This record gives sequence, structure tokens and C-alpha cells, in this order.
Amino acid sequence: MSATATISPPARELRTSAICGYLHRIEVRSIGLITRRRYWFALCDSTPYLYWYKDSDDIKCIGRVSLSGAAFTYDPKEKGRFEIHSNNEVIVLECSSDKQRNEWMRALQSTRKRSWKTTKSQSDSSLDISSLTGRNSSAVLEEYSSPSPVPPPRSPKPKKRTQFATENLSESAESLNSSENTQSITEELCEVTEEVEEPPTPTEESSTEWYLNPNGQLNERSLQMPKTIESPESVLKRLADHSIEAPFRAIRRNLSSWRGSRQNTVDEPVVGSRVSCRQVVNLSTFSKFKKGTVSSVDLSPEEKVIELSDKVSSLEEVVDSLRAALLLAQRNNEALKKIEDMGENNEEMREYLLEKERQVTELHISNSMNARRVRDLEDQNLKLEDTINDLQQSVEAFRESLRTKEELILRMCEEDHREDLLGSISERSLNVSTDANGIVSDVEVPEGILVDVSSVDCEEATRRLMRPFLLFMYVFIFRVLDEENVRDIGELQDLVDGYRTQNQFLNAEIVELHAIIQSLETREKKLIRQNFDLEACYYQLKSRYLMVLNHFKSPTKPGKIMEPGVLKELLEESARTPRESQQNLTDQLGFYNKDEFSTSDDLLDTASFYMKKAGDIVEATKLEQSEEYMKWLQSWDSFLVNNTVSRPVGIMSSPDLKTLIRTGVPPAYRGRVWKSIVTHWVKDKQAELGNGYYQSMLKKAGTKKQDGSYDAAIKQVAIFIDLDLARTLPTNKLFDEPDSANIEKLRNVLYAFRYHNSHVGYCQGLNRLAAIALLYLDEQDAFWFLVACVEHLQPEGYYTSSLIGAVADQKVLRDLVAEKLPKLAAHLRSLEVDLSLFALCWFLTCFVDVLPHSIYLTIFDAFLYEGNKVLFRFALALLKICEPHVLQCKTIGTVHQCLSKAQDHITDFKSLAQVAFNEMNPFPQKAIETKRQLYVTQLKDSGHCM
Amino acid sequence: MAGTRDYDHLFKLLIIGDSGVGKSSLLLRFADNTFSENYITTIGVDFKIRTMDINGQRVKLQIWDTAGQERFRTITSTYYRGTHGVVVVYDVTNGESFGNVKRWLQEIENNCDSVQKVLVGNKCEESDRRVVLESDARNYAQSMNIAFFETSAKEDKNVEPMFTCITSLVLTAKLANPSSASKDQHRSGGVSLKDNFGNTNQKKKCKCG
Repeated sequence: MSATATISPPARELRTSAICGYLHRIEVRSIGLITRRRYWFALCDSTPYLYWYKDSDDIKCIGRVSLSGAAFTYDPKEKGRFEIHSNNEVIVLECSSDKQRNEWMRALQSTRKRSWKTTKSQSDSSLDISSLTGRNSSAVLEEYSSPSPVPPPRSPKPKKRTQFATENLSESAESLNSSENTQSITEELCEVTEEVEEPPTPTEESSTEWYLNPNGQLNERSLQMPKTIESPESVLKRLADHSIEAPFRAIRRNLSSWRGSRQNTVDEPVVGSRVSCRQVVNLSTFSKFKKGTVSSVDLSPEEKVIELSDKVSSLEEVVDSLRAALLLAQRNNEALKKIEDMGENNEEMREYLLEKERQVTELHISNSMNARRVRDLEDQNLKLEDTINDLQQSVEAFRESLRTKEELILRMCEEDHREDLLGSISERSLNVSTDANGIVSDVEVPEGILVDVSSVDCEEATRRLMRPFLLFMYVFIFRVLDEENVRDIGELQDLVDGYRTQNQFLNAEIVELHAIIQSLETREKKLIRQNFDLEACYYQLKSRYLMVLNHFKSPTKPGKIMEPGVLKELLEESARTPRESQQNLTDQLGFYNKDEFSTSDDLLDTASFYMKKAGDIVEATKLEQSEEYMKWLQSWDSFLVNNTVSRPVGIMSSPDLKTLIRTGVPPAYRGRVWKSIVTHWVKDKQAELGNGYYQSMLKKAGTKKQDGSYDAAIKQVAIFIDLDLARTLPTNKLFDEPDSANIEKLRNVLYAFRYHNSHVGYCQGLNRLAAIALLYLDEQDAFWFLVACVEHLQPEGYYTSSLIGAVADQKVLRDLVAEKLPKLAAHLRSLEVDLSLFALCWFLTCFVDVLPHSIYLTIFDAFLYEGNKVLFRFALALLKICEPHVLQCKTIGTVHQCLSKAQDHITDFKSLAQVAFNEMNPFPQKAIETKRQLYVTQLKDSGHCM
Repeated sequence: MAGTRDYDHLFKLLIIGDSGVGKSSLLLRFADNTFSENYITTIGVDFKIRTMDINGQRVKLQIWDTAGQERFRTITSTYYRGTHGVVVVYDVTNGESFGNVKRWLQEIENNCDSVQKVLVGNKCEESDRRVVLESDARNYAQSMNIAFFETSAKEDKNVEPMFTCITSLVLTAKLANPSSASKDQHRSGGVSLKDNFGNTNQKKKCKCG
């Protein structure tokens, strides 16, 4: 039934290890109703989520689970089944074999590892913000971690320090144990043996016990199997033979029968003693068996000790009674001798006596044998007692290990949760300090939140998180006991093996979770420190602002005159915080931020400028935290995971994907998505031209440049390219100077393209396309990006020397405007404004520099997937949004001003896309093509060619 | 419209010249009095408006800035129509751009009937890299009978005088011959829509040749 779980040829890329395949998800819906559904699961290293889809080529996922804080377990008894515990949720999955399960578990673990490692490195870099108060948080942390005699409050260090002591103790305990030659004392549980040595205070001590040393690594032997776990193997073997109680019952039965028979020996001593002999033999075999059994019963050793001592005393009784019987027999013998002395039937008498003597010697022999057996039994008892002691200790140790593991897990969950809370709190306080930048008078201060939230919510959350783990532990123990019912020893052996690997897996789990917690702990500390700093900074600023406000409230009061520089200082500071001034200049893509410091001397203007800025920042933060935004990111993430894993090359066309791309690609994924789409367009060409085509084109450009043999036309093009390099994206740090970082790449791409497509060569505008590509792609991909744009996405003749395609499209646009926006078209006609004055640039450069880059980059997303038609949509949408403003314009000058500042009217991509993709419908591709064809022919006829 | 307008004359000027000689920079300096070392390339056509006083007359200037690359000439040539004055720009550090001035003047001849012209050698602050001598350019301008300036948009040298000069020339020409140009220019300052791409064969011939 689970045979359907096929791991497709593990599509592993070089950088990311990924796994995907069909699995069954098992869910308990309502009481007793268990559903098994088959989904396509995909996992890859780039994202900390496991996604599942209806089918392997789906765009949208059905669900996902976060792996960053997840724990994985499985039960070796259930074939191919494993569980993911994450955020109070348990997901049970089943694959066809244990081998596959192992693969999945490994993949899950490595994904989790990577996810927290990246977050760690991210947080490490992002958290090193020097605060306004001038205290470097990392320096403070150094202080904390240095071994100071006074442990700082609220830090987990003290506990770890006590561990040093206990470790030393346990080491000595270990040496003690080994000197006593107590073999079965589990050496690997050295920490716990210490408690066996010192029974009075075991629980308090052990609560601070860790399996890990202060460096965060497991203690040397804690990964090994405790030997007590091996003993279940023998337990189970014996349990299969007999129940534990059975031998005892047998012994008791024999004892009582012996007692009964002893009374008979007075009348028939010989028979009685014989019987007793047999019974003793029986007893000894039973006790031999019992020895084995007892050693296996490690659950209630105290009971067993009592029972054993019972047995010993009863054996002693047996010996006593045997001696009494011997005495009786001797007396009997004597009596018979007397009878012989009386001398009646001599012959008969002698025979009788001989018989008796034989009996007596027999009895002697049996007696000595019995005595030996009794001695043996006593020895055995001693040994048994030792074994019981040992077992008791190892059981203790095992329990202890279980408990410490549980505690460890508990702690991990707790820390994990608290970490999350702290993260959100510090973020909140960041917001507060951002607010402080504007002129804010009453902002709620997040006092007390820190303490309250972390103490109350944490416990509850921890309890919830812990439940699956505890449950699992209990189930494990109970299962071991229930195995009585299972008869097949081989099966049990397998099971034991399974449990062993499972335990190893769980141990590895613990190591990893602990590492995660360690990193989270450091992050938490950093965040707390940062939080303090920010709070301090906030209060500082607040007090200063209040001072300023007070000053304005009562400017007439003489004593309250402000120091002259205070206001200016405050303004400068607000421009600087919270980010550092250097970073503030450009955004992540290298575009310079436009909010140049207002030069106005008017204080109110400056104030409103900052008010707006603060508003923008708050707005942006809000947007990034909104549910919609998260959903958007999630849908992209899910798409990319499945796309990377199942179809590592290219992208396929589907309506779902179209819809998704129309919402824009998240900047973080844009490079990957663009590359996939570009590959989708040019893969045939790439295959045809072969590997290293770009390099060969570059080489061609390079050598030609050296020998100067190229003809004048191409030389001209090269000069044009060089001229335009620094004039491509002057608002971007990577392109603004002739020696900026990306200029050389841009040159290479354009040179190579010139040789690749000599028909187009170089057209102004292509430089912008290439530069945009270089923001996200490497040189070679940017080249193919350009190829895709010019040769696949734009119609023919767009960038050629006559620009005939672009000119024709201007006419098509004019027609479309007349059709969709008749009022605007009429108005423009009355003012004799030609739309191509603005729109030609829109079409040739895909709105680069026309709109804010955040918007035109998103237009590029759709353009790359759908092609030129999208440009019409956006051009019309832009015009539609500007329509009311344009209609108010009376001259061509104002129209130009209005349309060239279109970005003032278009604030976000969403509203633009709404108009472009919904309000403009119907929007048939065919109509556009027909019109374009018509105009191209017309232009050709009218001589628009060179 | 005549009653509400805030100017006495409306003139349309066109700036042409090779790519990268500083056409947009000149305009930016003149209209906004700013300068940027690497101003983004002009795709197609751009324009700005500025009003100035010439001899007590308020003149509103509509200045069209064109793309310099050869292949955009098909598009820019449509903007020659109705132009009163043309500024032909070359780069004093680029001999080729000066060599092309002749072609640009020819372009004007092909597209306009009567128009005032000025020859401008830009980037004159770059004395180290200069290859076009001022005297040569001046001689050439004189021989073609057009006004000549060397400007620096970067250092704001001669930009204002140059535009004042061309505006005065246009104004003088208009006052001398009011009937010829004023008719359609007073009606609107724009380019007629239908003229833009439906060019007659006559205009195109020059490029084919």
C-alpha cells in the first residue's frame, strides 16, 4: 500500500541537496477516523520548510511545515513511518521502506541544520549594530562569556558551571567503580553512577545534569548506548520463553509439596528422603533458571531481592529437614541393629541389615550431594545478589538518562520558544525606536512585556511542545514490557535493532537540537542587549524631544532657553537612526535612496519631511509583517522548492504560474526565477550554440579590439557602448561611475551581444535591460537575458536600426488607448500630444527609469514570463491611473510633466497590476499582433527602413 | 487660450548632436540649473520648459532634447517640424562628433524650412582632452553662417548666453517676418499627432541615401 512512495531519481543540484517523492500522510481526523492521503512532498536546502503538493508538477502547495524548530522521530515497529513534531503539530508520514525513511530523515535533518545555520550567520551579521549609546553589544557579550567569578543574572551559565564539578565527581566515581570490578556498572553513564554512590541527594543533583559539556558538545560517551538498553534484548528472549512469574510459582508449589512430604517421612523415611532428593534437584534447577530470569527483570529489583532471600531461607529449611530425615534413618538403623542382636532369623537379619546399610550409604551420598548443591545454591544466590545490585544501578542509570534527556528536550523547547518571543519583542522595540524618529509624544513603552510574556507563555508552550516527546518515551517503555506476547525471537531481535538505530537517531537529534539552542541562546543574549540599548536610546531621545516640546510650549519663559545646537543635533540624529548612515545611502540593489536631506531651512518643512519618512518606514514594516505578504512569500517558496527539486532545469508554462508571477517575484528569489524563465526561452538556442558560447563571443570582442581590425560600423558601436556604460543606471551605486562594480560586466554583456546579434548590434536601451539583468544574474545569464528579451520576448525589429517594431507598437498603443481610454485619447488629440514621446521609452526599456525600480523590476517579472503584451497592459494601466491628472492639463508642457512624473501617481505595484491585469481585460494577444503587422507593413511601404 | 497665457511668445527649440556630447546636460543646466556627471541616456525624446525675458518680452521656451544614436533619427526627425531654433551640439573632446556636425546640419536642412541655428562645442572645461580647436569650430560656424558658442554644462559656462542668443535670434526672425511662423505656433506648442510617424517620403530620402 505504501509501495507508491517512489523517490524520483534524487534530483540533486550541486549546491542544494534536495529530496522529493510521494509519501502518505496519515491524519487522525475525528474520533478513530484515520485518513491516509498520498501527496507529493518536496524538500530542498534553500528553505526551512517541507512542502507537499497534490501532484509533482503543481505550483501551489497544499501545506507546509516549518523545520527550523522541528524534531523528528520514528518508531522502528512501524515500517516506513516517521513523525515530524513542529509547532505543536505532529505530522505522520509514511514511505515504502525503512531505507527511504532514513533518507528522508537525513534530508530533513540537513535542511534543518542549514536553515538554522543560515539564520545564525544572518543574525550574527545583522545583530552587530552599534547603538546610539556607543556600547558595542558584541563587546558586552565578550564580557559575559569570559569566566567571571560573579555569574551574571538571567544567564544559563551558572548551571553549566556546576556541571564542571559534577563531572569531576563522576570521574572519580567511575574510577572507584572500575576498581571494584563491577563489570556491569555502565561506565558510559558516569554522571549517573555518581548518584548511585551518593544516594541521599540524587534528584536535586541530577536536575542540573547535562549530557553536554559547556562547549555544547555531548559528553564523550553519551552518544553510546547505555548497556541497560542492551539488556532488554535478553529480557525479551527470556520473556518469550516464560512469563516472569511462572518460575516462582513453580518453586512455591515444590516447596509446599516438600513440606507436605516431610511430614510423611516419619512413617516412610526412605521414600520421603528420595522424594526430597529429587525435589532438591528440581529446586536447584529452578533456582538456576531463576537466576537468569531475575537478572532480566530489571523493573523491581527490591522485590526480587526479597523474593530471592525468601528462596534462600526456604532452601535452608530444605537442608534442615533433610538432615532431620537422615537422623531419623540412622535411628531406624540402630533400632534394626538391636533387633539383629536379639538374634532371631540371622540370615534374614543380615540380608535386611545389608539392605539397610546400602540404603544408608545411598542416603549419605545423596546427603553430601545435597549439601554440595546447597553450597552451590548459596554461591549462586550471592552472585545473584550482586547482579541484582548491578541491575538496580543500571536501571537507575537508565532512568536517569531518560530523565536528563527529557529535561534537555524540555529545556530546548523552552529556549526555542522564548527565543521566538524575544525576537518579536525586540522587533517591537525597534519599531518603537523608529517611531521615536518622528516627533512622537505618547508612545506606549514596552516595559514589562519582556518578563511577562516569556515567563507565562513559555511554560505553557513548553508543556505543549514536550507532550509528544514524553508520550513517545512512555510508549517506548510500555512497549518493551508488552513484548511478552510476542513469541518470535527473531522478530524481537529485529525490533531491538530498530530501537537501537532509533536511539542513535534520537541522540543525534538531541545533539543537533542542542546546537540550535546554543546558537539561539547567543542570539537571544544579543537581542536582549540590543533591546536594552535601543530602549535606553529611545528614552534618551524621548526626553530630548520632550525638552524641545516643552521649550516650544513655553517659549516666553526665560529660564528655559534651549542650547542652540540641540535641535539640529536631534534632526541629524533622526536622519541617522536606526540604520547606519553609510548603509542608508543605497538600498540592497545598490540604488541610491531618493530621500535627500531637505535643504529647506523651514523647520516645519523638515519636520513634515521626517514625519513622512517615519510613516514610510512604519508602513513598510507593517507591510512586511502582514499576513498577505507572508502568504505571498510562502506561495513563492513552495513553488520554488518544487520547481528546484522536481524540475531543476527550466520552468513550464501553466496558468497557475502566470497568476503567481503576476503578483511579482520576491526580491530574494528573483535571481533564481529570472534565470529559470530566461533558460526556458533560450534553452533551444543554448543547446544549439553549445557551452561556452558567451565566452567565445566575448573573446571575439576582445581580440578584435586588440588588432583593431574591425570595420568602422562595429567600432562605432563599441564607442557608443562605452559612452553609455556610466549613463545606464546612474541612480545605482553599481553603475554610477565608469569604474563602478558592474560597469565592466555590463560592457562585456553588451559587447558579446553585439557580436551575437549583429543585426541589432547595440541599441540605446539595451544597456538598461542588461544592467537590470546584472542586478540579479551573473554576466553569462545576463547575456542570455538580453537574448531572451530581444529575440523572444519583444517582437521582431524592436531594436534594429530602424526600430520599426517599436514604432509600430507606438501606433498599436495609440489605437489601444483610443479603445480603452477614449476620453484620454481625445484629450491628448486636442492638445496635439503624441503619446510616443513618452511611451517609446516605456516599451524599449520596460519602464526602467520611468517608474520606481521596485515597480519596474516587478514589471520585468511579468514581462519575462509573458512577453511584450505585458508592456501594453502596464502602459495602459499607467495611463489610466494618470488619466484624471492628465485630463486637467491644458498644455503639452503640463501633460509631459504629469506623465514624466508618473511615479508620483503610482505608489505601489499592486494597484498598478490590478488595473493592468484586471481592468484592462479583455486583452487579446491576437488583436495586438494583427494591428502590429498592419502598421509594420504600412511603415515599410512608407519607406521606414534603412 | 490667448487671454490666459502667461507669455508673449512661445518658441520651440531642438537640441541635436551625437550621442554623449552633453545635450541633456545643457538642457538640465539651462532649465533646472543642475548638473549630473552621468545623466541617464535619453531614449527617444525628452523636453523641458523655461520662460525667459528677452528685451522685455516674455518668451516661453519649449526645448526638445533628442536621442543621439543614429537609429533614433527616424523618431527624432519628426520633432523637427515646427521648430524655431536648433542647437547643434558637439563634444570638444571628441573629433568625430564635430565631424558629424555637417550631417546634423544637413538633417536640419532636410526637415525644416526656415530655422535659426547655433553651433555649440560642449565640455570646454576639459582643456586637457580637447581635440577640436575653438578657432576651427568658429571658422566653420562662420562659414556656415551660424552662431557659435563653447559651453560647459558642468561648470555652467556660456550656457545661459547660448540659449539667450538662440532665443533672441528666433525672436528677431519672428518679429521680422511675423506671418510665416506665428500661425500654427500660437495655436499650440505641440507636434501634430498625425505628422509623427506618417512622414512623407521626401523626409525619409535623406537617410536612405
